[in-house]
Amino acid sequence: MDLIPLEDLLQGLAILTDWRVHLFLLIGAVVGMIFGAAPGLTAPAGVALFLPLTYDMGLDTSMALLLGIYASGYFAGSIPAILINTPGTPGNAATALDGFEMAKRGQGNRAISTAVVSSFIGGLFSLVLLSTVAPSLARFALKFTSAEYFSVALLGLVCVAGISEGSLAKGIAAALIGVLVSTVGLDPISGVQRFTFGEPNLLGGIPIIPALIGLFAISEMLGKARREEVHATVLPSEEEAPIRSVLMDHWRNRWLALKSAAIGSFIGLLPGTGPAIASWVSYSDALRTRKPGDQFGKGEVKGVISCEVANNAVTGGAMIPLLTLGIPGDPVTAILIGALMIQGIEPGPFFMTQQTALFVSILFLLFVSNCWMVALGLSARQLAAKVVRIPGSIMVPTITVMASAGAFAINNNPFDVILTILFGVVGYVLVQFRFPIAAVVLGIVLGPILEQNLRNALIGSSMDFTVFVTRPISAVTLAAMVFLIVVWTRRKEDFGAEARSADGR
Amino acid sequence: MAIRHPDTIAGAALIAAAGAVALLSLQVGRGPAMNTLPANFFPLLCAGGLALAGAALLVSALRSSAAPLPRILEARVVGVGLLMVLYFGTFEYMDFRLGAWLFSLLSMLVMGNRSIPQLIIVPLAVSLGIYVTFRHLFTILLPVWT
Repeated sequence: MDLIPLEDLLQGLAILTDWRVHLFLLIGAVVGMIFGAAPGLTAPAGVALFLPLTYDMGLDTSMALLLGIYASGYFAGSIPAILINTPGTPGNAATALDGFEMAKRGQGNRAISTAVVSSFIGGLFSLVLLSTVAPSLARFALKFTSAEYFSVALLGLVCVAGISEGSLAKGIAAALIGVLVSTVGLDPISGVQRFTFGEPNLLGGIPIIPALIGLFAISEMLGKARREEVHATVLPSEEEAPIRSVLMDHWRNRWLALKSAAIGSFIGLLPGTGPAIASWVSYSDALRTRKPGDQFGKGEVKGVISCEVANNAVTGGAMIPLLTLGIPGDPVTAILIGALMIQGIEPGPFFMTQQTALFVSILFLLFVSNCWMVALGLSARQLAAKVVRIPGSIMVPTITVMASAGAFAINNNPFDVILTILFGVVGYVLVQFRFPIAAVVLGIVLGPILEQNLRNALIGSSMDFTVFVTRPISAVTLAAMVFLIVVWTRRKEDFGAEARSADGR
Repeated sequence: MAIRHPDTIAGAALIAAAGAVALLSLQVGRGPAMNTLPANFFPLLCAGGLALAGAALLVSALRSSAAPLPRILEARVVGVGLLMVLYFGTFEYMDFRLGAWLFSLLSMLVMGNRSIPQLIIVPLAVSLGIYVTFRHLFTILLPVWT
């Protein structure tokens, strides 16, 4: 294990002496809380919307703002999941299974406090993993050539397509749509134009931030414009849940929490995955190892612990491929690449060796973000619950106007605003047909990495395609990818057979 | 055989899109001769992948029973969508404060909000709040009539 030099550690720690950093961490945590708690808004949408504001900010404050949104946003989706059985983000869907049942029994307060503490444990575990694994992995990644980068990016694309809910074909199609979008503009190797249709604004390619704002925010707002469902469930009055009893719940289930944290961090580590799959895998595992008397699905606190620990354990795990390879681990880190690039920083193996102090700063920022999440989650949970009930007729204009201003602010270019609405409409149609938007976004980010490394590898090997299987790391990565495809295809066939037999067909 | 199934439409649309992308990719220039893949290789590969995914969706949908189609064009979505297109399309020509206020007011009305205090306060708060935040807090310029 590589240790971080003391000088870099102190330099990185110095970030916490700046009061503005704490202010933006707090703002980020509040924004993340709102975006996570409001059904229809997500943490990636929050990060994408606030990214343009960081142009005029320093590196420290911009990272504080975005990481604050990241940590709190992943947790806060559990609030509507528990209170109204509507997960604020896909990553909190599994939390609703037991959380809402607890709320129906008057234990909503206990369920939210459990989610806060579990999220903190998950975040902390992944942070420890990030600080210990990332430096070694970065040193290892220095041996990577274009062949390895291509294989890892391809693995990421296959992961995101494979874990997509419902259909592998839809996941692959969504990822390919994203990759296709990334090919617009001048070809970086030959310099010829691709799909520019004579539009000079497209020569530099499709700017990623308007595309992200459109896909995440505008598509969600169009969906939100639908007639709102009335939540008829009237919850009983809440029982008070002292924090001590919540902590005791975690102590009693410490091994479950630890296992869920490991699952979440590992899934976050896989390029292209995210919190939704982490919480479902963790919940399934908790279900598999349940003890007699456990009442999963009927308000079992272990259900909330397993989902929420895994959900937030993704944050640090997903930062590992981002910071060591420059390959995003989840949709938010796909956007964070843009944030780092705005500040002139390129994530990858050299980041860890040349920007060690910044890496340490990111660790501390993530830690303080998690602390703010706990403070806000425990002290303002009643207030956060009100966010759940913001009417769509107020949310839609507010977020849309913010999205338009944010898209324009990136380059002061009205063309970006047009692209935002275009991607918003496309995203809305894709969502309605159940195509995963996260796969499109990761396709846009991974597309250039895939294409350039494929072509560079072939230039380097004089068009010898065997370079991808003769280099050991690349070969192992591709073998892992084939293995995953086989597993997912079989699992989906099994689900299909089960569904057909359940239908009596 | 279910023609009326969301995946039938999605699959057919993907195949059509793949065809269009393939045609456009074939028109991409070759550039200087280099010992690597041509510029249209990746788009063609994506088109092939899209066609395969579309065919898989289409075949599985045709083999399953009919399912309801998503209601994409619900009246309120169309109304708000048209307002969005108008607002985003005229963004560069309108004073941001006026455009944002007008969009907020009209979209609230389209979404059925009839509360007079909310119709007065929210559009004003949204347009001025976001303008002041961008212009004065983050010194980001937004289009204004001078």
